[in-house]
Amino acid sequence: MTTDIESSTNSTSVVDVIIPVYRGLAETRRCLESVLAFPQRSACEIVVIDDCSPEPELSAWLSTLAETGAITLLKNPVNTGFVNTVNRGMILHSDRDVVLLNSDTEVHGDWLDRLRRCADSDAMIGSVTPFSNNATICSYPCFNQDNPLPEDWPLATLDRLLAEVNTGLAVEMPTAVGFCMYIRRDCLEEVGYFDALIFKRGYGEENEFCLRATEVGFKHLLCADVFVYHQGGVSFGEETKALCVEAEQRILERYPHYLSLIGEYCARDPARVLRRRIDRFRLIRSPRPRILFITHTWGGGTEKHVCDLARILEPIFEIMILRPTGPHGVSVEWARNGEEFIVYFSVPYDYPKLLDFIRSLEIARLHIHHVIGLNRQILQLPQDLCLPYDFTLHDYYPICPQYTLTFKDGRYCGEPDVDGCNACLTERPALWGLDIVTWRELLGKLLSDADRVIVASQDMETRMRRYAPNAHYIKLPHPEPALTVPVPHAPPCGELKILVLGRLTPIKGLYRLEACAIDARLRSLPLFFRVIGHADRDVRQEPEIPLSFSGPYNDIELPLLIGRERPDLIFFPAQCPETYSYTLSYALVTGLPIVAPRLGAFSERLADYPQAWLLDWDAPVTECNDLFVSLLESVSGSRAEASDDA
Amino acid sequence: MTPEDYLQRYIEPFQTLAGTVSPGDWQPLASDYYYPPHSEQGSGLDTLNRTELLDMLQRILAIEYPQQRLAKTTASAFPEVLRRLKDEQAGWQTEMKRLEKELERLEELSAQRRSDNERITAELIEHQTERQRLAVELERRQGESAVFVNEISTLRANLADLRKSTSWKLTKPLRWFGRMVKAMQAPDA
Repeated sequence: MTTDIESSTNSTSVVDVIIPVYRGLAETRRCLESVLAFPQRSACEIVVIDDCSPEPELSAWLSTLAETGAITLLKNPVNTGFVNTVNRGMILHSDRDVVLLNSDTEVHGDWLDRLRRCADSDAMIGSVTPFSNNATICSYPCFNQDNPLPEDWPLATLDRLLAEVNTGLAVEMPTAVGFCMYIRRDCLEEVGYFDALIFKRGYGEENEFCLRATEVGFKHLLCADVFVYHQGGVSFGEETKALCVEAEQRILERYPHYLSLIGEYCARDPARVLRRRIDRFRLIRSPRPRILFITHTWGGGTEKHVCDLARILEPIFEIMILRPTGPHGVSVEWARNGEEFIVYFSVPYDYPKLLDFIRSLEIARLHIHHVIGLNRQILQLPQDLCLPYDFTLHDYYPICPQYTLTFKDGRYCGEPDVDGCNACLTERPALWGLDIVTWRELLGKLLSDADRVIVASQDMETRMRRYAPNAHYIKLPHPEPALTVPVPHAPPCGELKILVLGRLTPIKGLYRLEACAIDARLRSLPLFFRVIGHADRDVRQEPEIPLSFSGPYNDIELPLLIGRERPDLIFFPAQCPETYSYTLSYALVTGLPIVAPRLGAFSERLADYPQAWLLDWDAPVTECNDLFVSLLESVSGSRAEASDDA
Repeated sequence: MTPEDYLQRYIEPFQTLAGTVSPGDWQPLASDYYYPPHSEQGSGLDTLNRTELLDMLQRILAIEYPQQRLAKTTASAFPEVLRRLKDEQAGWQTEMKRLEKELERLEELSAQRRSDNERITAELIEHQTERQRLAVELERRQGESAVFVNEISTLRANLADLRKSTSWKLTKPLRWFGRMVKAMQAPDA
């Protein structure tokens, strides 16, 4: 529950800020210096407990600080572990509230006053935890993650923002998080201290304590107007993970419902509202101009381009991305690395709210990448917002509702006349039930009103100009970093290994490839077809025919996978006019012979490539295989000469 | 095309945009906009205030009843709904009674726990005090031990000096003669 906290601070009693110390002089110094730098209205005593630190410099520094009277220093004669140490601190003054503060944290401003105000807002509050960058369910910006502090937002600025945006707000949680935990004395008196027998070295003790407290009716709050920086893992280093696993097992022995409790909280995530309030303020205060991308959720090359472009523009712009969440909804997300801001609108009902929201972000420009899957209302955005926009064409959607200029069987349709297209739409209707003329009028207007229509190839521009001649086209091949694909060159061992790249569909030539492999088997040709990727449906494969698939892959693995296959040739069996082809970019840097259809972007992208062979997209498979066999002979000959020369 | 070249070409027409944004105004957004549609978490209900709840109901009505009027068949369903709600109310009353009993039990349990906690806290404080006393005792004993070690070293040094002295060497025959006399006087000799 989000709670508005009424101030009822009992400011006369003293709060003990207990800081157990074991390792890390630099972190401990930063922590204590931050605590001492900000006087609080609440009376407090800083109790530092040196748990027999193995770092003499740390112990010496603490002793020096204690001599000034700034802190109360307790020293354990032997190392007693985190939990015993904390318990010693809590026992020290049996009438005081306490704050357990890890020595690798940093605080800012009137942090303690704000925590205390939250803790005093209800008699049944047991504990209060602030937001932090590294605090599992209290983490910000990303929930349940170890985040760096957001770029341009150091602790002081961020904490001030929380204090301003989330003043007095809190949500109830199933457990506190121990890096910074305010515990009321009432709760300690009812529930007792941490269980040092079970959780001697730390991790999990605060969760078990909270579960005990919940059993007798106490609540645990996330205090949304305080942010405490937490480095994490200083005292235990790499042991942290193992300690967490062990702690979880011990909690589950006592409280078998613990994980479901946490799981339910994470699914519900009531603190999301509070995190989003901070995000929105940070976004609004960013000095970078904003661009809103509009795209689909189908993944593939469009998604890759959108993500690449967002990353390239990130230093100069704030990029927001609008996507469909269904036929009647859209989401708008902040595409900056390390942010999780996302909002949802139902469309058309919430369309006015969506407009208000976009206006509040001061979006300066739109960039449409795709509109498939979006509610038709979204097409009105540029006009309703009166904003300039670009339109990148990733396929032929504005002129072909099937988006690839192909028949149902995946073969290039040859771009028939209006009757031919309407016949196609009878079989496979367009989105929003439009006929081809209305469709092209609607989307053609969107193209002609755009500042720029960005195409990745000349072929695409030529094709599109036939249908939307008034648009302002510019050719911008997709941005790609310099690629290297090391392929060991060796003479073919009597058989030509032909590599095909990417997820194969009938449009991408799946059936054509299968037909080539069948022909190779029937004519006993020395050819083997290997696909790095997978097929979207069942086809015949090895051992029946010389064709096999490696399975799905990540783009980043592709150079390694190509090299490992040691192919002799790369083949593109596509049956539609490709608009760019990312996989061709990888093939071009291998130096291997490439066979591709004389269709779409292939012709121009391979024009200057010395080892390119272009075939008609619908050339008979026998012609295709005959070319491969002739290439086998030339490849064998040239590589043999090369090895002789070597 | 390299990313750098692309960026250059991409921002050409609107380079003046960079650095022109002034901080915008804070526009409140109802909390349910932050959750995906049809997600099975009731967080919206947890965090909604009355206005937000009304807004949400209006939106549900707009989707479920776009015609904004009730059909006759829908209206006839209301007595049935009312009956069901009454049944539910009776069920909740029974549940309330059960919860009251449960509360009584928990209060008893809580009192018991409180008493246990007081006892354990007292024991813990006692152990802590004892541990601190023992630590002090240990420190005192370690100090004493150091003093004894020093004393032993001093005595050993004195003994060595004595054995090296001329008087010790001169009286050596006398000590030998003494030992012989004692041996002869012994009952077994």
